[in-house]
Amino acid sequence: MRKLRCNPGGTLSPEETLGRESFITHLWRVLDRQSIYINDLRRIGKTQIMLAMHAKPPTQWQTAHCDLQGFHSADELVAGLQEQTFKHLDAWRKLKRAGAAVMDEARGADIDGVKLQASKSTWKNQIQQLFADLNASFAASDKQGARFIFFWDEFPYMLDNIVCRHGSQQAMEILDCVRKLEAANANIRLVLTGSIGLHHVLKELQKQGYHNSPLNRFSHEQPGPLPPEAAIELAHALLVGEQLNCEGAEAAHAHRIARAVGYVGFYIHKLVSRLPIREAITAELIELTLRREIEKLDGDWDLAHYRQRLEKYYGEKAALALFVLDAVAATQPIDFQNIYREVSGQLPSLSKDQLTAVLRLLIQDHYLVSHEGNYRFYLDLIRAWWRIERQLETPSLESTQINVKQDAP
Amino acid sequence: MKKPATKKPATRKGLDALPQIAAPTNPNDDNGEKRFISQFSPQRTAPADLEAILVQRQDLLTQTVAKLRESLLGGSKHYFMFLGPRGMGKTHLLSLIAHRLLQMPELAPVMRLAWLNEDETSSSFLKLLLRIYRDLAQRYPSEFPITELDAIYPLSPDQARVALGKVLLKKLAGKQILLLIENCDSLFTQMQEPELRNWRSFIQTNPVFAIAASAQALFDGISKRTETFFGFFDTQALTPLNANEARELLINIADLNGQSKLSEYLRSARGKARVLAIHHLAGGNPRLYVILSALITPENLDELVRPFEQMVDQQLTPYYQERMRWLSPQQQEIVQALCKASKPINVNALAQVLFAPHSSITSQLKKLREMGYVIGHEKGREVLYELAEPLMRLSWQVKESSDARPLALLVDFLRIWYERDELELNMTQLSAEDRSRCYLENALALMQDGMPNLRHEIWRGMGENLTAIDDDALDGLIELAFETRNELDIGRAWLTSRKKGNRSDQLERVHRLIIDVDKSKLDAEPDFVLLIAMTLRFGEEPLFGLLASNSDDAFHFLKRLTKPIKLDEDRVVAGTRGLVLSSIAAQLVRLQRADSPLLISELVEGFRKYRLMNVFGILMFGALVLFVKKHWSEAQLWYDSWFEKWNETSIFKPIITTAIEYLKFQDENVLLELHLEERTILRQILGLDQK
Repeated sequence: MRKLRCNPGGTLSPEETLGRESFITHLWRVLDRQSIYINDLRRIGKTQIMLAMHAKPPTQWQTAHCDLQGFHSADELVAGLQEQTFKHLDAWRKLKRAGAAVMDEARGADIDGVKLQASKSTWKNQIQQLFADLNASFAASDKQGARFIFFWDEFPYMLDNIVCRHGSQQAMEILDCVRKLEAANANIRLVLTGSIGLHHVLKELQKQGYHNSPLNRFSHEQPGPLPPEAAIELAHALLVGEQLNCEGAEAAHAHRIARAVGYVGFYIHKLVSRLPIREAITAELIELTLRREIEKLDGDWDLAHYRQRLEKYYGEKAALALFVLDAVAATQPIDFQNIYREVSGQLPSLSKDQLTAVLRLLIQDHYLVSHEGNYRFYLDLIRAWWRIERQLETPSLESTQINVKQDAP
Repeated sequence: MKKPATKKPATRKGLDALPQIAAPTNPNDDNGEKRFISQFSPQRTAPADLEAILVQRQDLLTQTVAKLRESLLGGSKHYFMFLGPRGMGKTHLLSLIAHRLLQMPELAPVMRLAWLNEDETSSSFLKLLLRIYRDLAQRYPSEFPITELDAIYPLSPDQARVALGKVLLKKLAGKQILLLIENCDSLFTQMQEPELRNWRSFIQTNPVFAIAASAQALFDGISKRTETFFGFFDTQALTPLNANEARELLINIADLNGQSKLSEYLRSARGKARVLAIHHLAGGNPRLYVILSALITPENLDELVRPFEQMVDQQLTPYYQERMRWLSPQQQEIVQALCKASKPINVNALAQVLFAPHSSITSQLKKLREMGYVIGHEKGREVLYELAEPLMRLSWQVKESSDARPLALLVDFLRIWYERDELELNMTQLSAEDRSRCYLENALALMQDGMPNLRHEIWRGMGENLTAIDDDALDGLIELAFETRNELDIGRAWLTSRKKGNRSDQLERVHRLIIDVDKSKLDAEPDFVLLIAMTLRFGEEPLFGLLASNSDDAFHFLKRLTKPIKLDEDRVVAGTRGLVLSSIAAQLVRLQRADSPLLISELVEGFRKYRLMNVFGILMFGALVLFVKKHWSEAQLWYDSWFEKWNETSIFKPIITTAIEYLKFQDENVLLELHLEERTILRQILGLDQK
């Protein structure tokens, strides 16, 4: 039996990233034809997926992984990318890049009476050249189907940094530039993700007049929780690896733990790490530990965030969103008609169009999923917390179920 | 129990640059040599000594070290954040983490240590990187030349950040950094979000760090979903020591210092009781016990009052001043106001006495709670606040009362902890000039006849459920019996040891005690009285088994039993009177019958007549245990019938009244009518902490 140590929040090695094999295979298949934008809740495992892909790309494909949240300008981005991609260029283009760098250093100098041009090339020119060189290097490669993949983590944070320091215009230009570069370079693909959804940044930029759709050529992907069997395997490996006193019930407890936290790897690590070392682990202890953790006002699970952000996200529709979530939390799966009946009891003037619009937003923000016309919480861990917080009928955390199949939001 | 560690300080590769202080000698030692255990900077104590005195956290330390080792050798990376108020042992833990990892030969070629202490902070990632580099340069000057920084300073901050990052990675040459950060919460307070993103980006892009950090409490920067570092750290809250762990710490220090007499005393029943007494008031902050360890001897610990006085006068005032130093002026005012408050108070009351806006008090209280200074209790819609450590209040009172007036809290403590005769005995041993006399006199003045000894009652409470009693509780009962030499306690310990039967040493101790006890006293008793009394007290025995089959029969038997026992006869010693009376009353408690005012009246009179009101008080208090699972109205009825006869003022009345209120409403808020130390006792009896 496999043994793993709890590591909630740390960086997992690719070997410890369980249960993502088929999703990664799917992403490689998509990348063969287009770039990808990965969006999901924080701590669902997006970065781990990127790192696992970066560690083991398909033969003939090369990759570069970069966390962009440390960049605060387009110039910094370009400089970072140039440094990172240099080793992937063919010999001729390496020479060309080196020459260009020397020229940049010498801008404005007077060499034997010849005054060199003072202005550097713009970041846009540089990044276009960088992509073009990289694309040409891979086109010239004798390897059939060679691709270069950029894994750009925390892309929205970088845009936010740039807005803060240089204003919205530069962020808009970067977004447009990324779209053009992706379209113009057939051998290069981008995989973008981040802790916050890009739509939050776009929403702010729209207020400044930006109305483009920079990622409309990208495939939008959502990893979701782990497949149940992988989540159970993970929980089992952690129980064994941490040498917890399960008295032979590791398999049953693993099942219980994985299910209670909605099959999310991070929460599996976190819950197992909270179980006492010297006590016998029982079903009741697992449930009690989880309940104590998620109910704690000053804890670090912060599920209250999903309640607190409603006003910010939904403005005047916050009350409607709240009642919808109450209705789904109380009785899931639940179809549109039943939600409408429940919520219109609280808001008599509610129209079906209004309800449809809010349901769409709740799916986009990962509160809910819909499957065959029925709605349920995306993560049953959030549902369990919601029922406790909103003083709805409290279910046993163990009885929560999650349906990982879902319609695309 | 741990053996004393070697006297030779361990060598610490990578730690040599840290200041080392020679161990001073102490005249109080058994062997004249005392190890240096720093009270405020554990990293200055030899790691081997820190290992020797470690309590409670062995598992946490072992696991953390194993995971960090894995981080330094493999692909995964662990990031720990240890949380606890000042003095909770965070630096002690970090020191041992560094020490253990530095001892591992397999890590020597791949690990470099950078330790950022709590006195310095950084407002940008660049400054943080500089601190890391400087610390590495100090520990490993040949690998990380300090002159490398010369080229960094002329650059712009952005350029310098990138350049220094490159220098660090180049000099590391594939090695990993074990990064220890103390007071990490202040780092998050100082750095703006873009700087935190720079830091996180560097960690994610360059996986060269294994991190163990510490903070006073969980803070938004790592616990809120909207923050950059949300969920990044594996948070581990350090919990206060319980009484046994506090005693173990004191024993470890005594062993380390070769103070065999003190160690032996601390292991004895009386020593255990003394530490329990201190813990009751001081809480479980390890630093307090380290401070105390420098003051105690078997003699003064036995007195209890003197080390308390010394600790408060000489050590705690600077200790709490040091803690106050970390607070803002308004936070200090709040803490002082709570020191003066006679019970937990709400925000409005605080705002009023401090002439401050409600909102600012609320915000400061939130911070004080996060830092572990203050605890809050929700009562309906309001929250009542008090200091997390009662001793902080005491220390403040010392500072304020320069006229050496008795300290209210200490007097309170003595009042509830000792029996009158114990206090009187203690008084006779003090000279007229001794400052401790004023505490004892005041405590005595406040004492009523029949004041029970809570220390004993806590032990007795532990032995209430004979079927579920564990070794610790049985040890407590045996120690109680040794201390009181009272037949009832001996009988209880004897029966319990027999029942458990899995540790012959415990039974042997009780047998020894029975032999030791005044033979004439036991000989004077008719066996049947003792037998009946014990049988009644411990209902599992055969006789009570017969009686208990019918509650009415048992009740009438008890009534009859009061008649033939000639309590007035000279041959019946006082202890047996108490035994018989309390056995009968205890059975009334067990049957929970309140329908015989006459019998109750006779019993109360008996207790009063023989000056056994202390036993009676204990019984009334102990009866709470039986009412915990009952309906409040039964408790109310039962106590009303007893209180009608028992009209003496007693500190137990408020506690019992509060307990009934709790049973009535099942609302922990009602406990807030009591002080923390009183609540602690009541919570134990009500089993609230087990819930």
